[in-house]
Amino acid sequence: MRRVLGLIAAEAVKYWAEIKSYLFNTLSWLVALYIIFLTFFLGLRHFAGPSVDGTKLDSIIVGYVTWMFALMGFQGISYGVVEETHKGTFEQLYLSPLGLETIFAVRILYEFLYSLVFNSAILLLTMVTTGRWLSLGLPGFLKLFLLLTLSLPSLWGLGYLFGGLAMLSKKMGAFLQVVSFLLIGLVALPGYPFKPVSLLPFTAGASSLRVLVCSSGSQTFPLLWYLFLLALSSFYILIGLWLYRLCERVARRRNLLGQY
Amino acid sequence: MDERENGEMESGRAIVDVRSLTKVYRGRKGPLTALKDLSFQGRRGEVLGILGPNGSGKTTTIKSIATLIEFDAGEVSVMGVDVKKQPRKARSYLGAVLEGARNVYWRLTPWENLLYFAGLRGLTPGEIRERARGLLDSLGLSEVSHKQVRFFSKGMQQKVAVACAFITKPPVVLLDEPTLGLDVETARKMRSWILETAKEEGTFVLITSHDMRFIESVCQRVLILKEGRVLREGTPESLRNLFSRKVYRIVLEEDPQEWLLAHLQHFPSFRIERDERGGSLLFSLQDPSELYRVFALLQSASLTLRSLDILNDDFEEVFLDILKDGDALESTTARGEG
Repeated sequence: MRRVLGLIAAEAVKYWAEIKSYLFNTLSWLVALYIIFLTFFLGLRHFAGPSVDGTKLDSIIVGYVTWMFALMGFQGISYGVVEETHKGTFEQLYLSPLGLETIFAVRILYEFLYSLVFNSAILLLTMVTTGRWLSLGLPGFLKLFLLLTLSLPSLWGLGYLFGGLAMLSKKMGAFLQVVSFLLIGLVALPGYPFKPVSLLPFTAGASSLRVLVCSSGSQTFPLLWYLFLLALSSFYILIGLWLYRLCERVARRRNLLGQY
Repeated sequence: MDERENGEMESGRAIVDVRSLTKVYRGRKGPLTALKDLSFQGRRGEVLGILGPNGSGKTTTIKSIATLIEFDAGEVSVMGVDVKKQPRKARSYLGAVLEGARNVYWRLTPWENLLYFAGLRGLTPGEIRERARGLLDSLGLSEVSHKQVRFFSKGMQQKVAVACAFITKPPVVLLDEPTLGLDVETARKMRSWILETAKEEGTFVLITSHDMRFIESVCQRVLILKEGRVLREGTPESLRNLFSRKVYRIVLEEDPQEWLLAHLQHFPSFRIERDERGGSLLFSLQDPSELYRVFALLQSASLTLRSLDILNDDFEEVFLDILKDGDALESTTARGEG
């Protein structure tokens, strides 16, 4: 445990140093995402005209922000492997006695906190621009946080899997960009109440979030639903880790670790 | 377990033990044997060098010890810990600088890099602050400890990487081509620093390099690899003695005649070097008594001798000789007698 604390402190040092160093890039990214959203939102309102009701617009806002969370959750590990390989530091991470999975797990937590701040900023900007304010109230906000926390780890599992594949194939970097857009599908599919598509990673959680926000936080979910989200996330995390370890073993056998 | 391992260290047993290490890469062009039955040991405070041409297995050896590669056969242990059975534990005893990689974060400062890499091994900033300051100071990085590494020269970046490898005082440090791209002065300073640190902290340092002079001056023992096998093992001095040919430079007052040159060509490694004042004749002789024959020939040609120098043996020549004779000597090893 003491070792993990050392790692948590070290990742904080690195994370903060990189935020400072990449501040301009971060702000540019924020502006770019905001413009993309604005184009999409205003375009839809313009073409659909008065037929678009408030619930639909709320749904778009929350869908976009949920996609941002999904993107950051997925990319934390998958792009993490690619980036570390590009930077020439991947092998050094691997030399840590704590293991790469632990390092990436700590990074995911920081990434999650960061995405909370970053996405809140996007949400605020979009609400100011569109004039539609999402009002959830404290109970609704707590439900939102719980749904997000329980369902997002399923994408971390997916991140581990693609991180593992990125160790094996140099072409995975380009493919990850495609997968990032496929996440829109996972977010947009109707996963609540339960349907077969609810078994896809994050779909059930994203759908619940949408329903919650559109009901202004009044929607209640049975305990079983929360347990289902937890089980689904655990399943994807375990599968992702297992496949990641498999890829890591093949990479070690073929001397592919850190090769780019 | 740690106490037992410490006990092994104190009793002078090998802290790195490589036995019959074999690695075969299986690619589309068929299997390629990178290492075959490689065995060696490393002890506390020792600096061991691995020399060899490209593809001889130097990096595969380093990566196998570092658990970055899964080898096919043999055993590797670090501080008594089998790297295959307990890779994470083995890694806790290792620091490394790997060839072809940056090894450190360029967007971070040396100070932040040191804190980070200590954290990767589970140490908090509070625990290594003093150590980090000491390393930066001894490597001449104190002045730039808060500047981002990306603004540094290659040599300074390499120093940061070496500092990070030593940050937790690991008993074993692996350095794969640590002087690649460094200027002569930085390489010299790095050499002294590695030697002193290995001695003071009792670290076993394993170095691979193409730089013969670096290896010769920093390593107490050298392994020469070819095609994944050990051709020779010994101290730089013992290897030099084994293959040494004294190099004599004879400078004459006038140019030698054609008939004399034809005779001199029979001596191994004979060559003429021209300078602005006339010619120099150079001979590499295994048996110094052959020099009498050379003098006899010069006397018969009535040439006047201006000077005679004995030059230092070139370790690079010794290395090339070993590689050349390697096939004939492949299974023998000359253990360090120097």
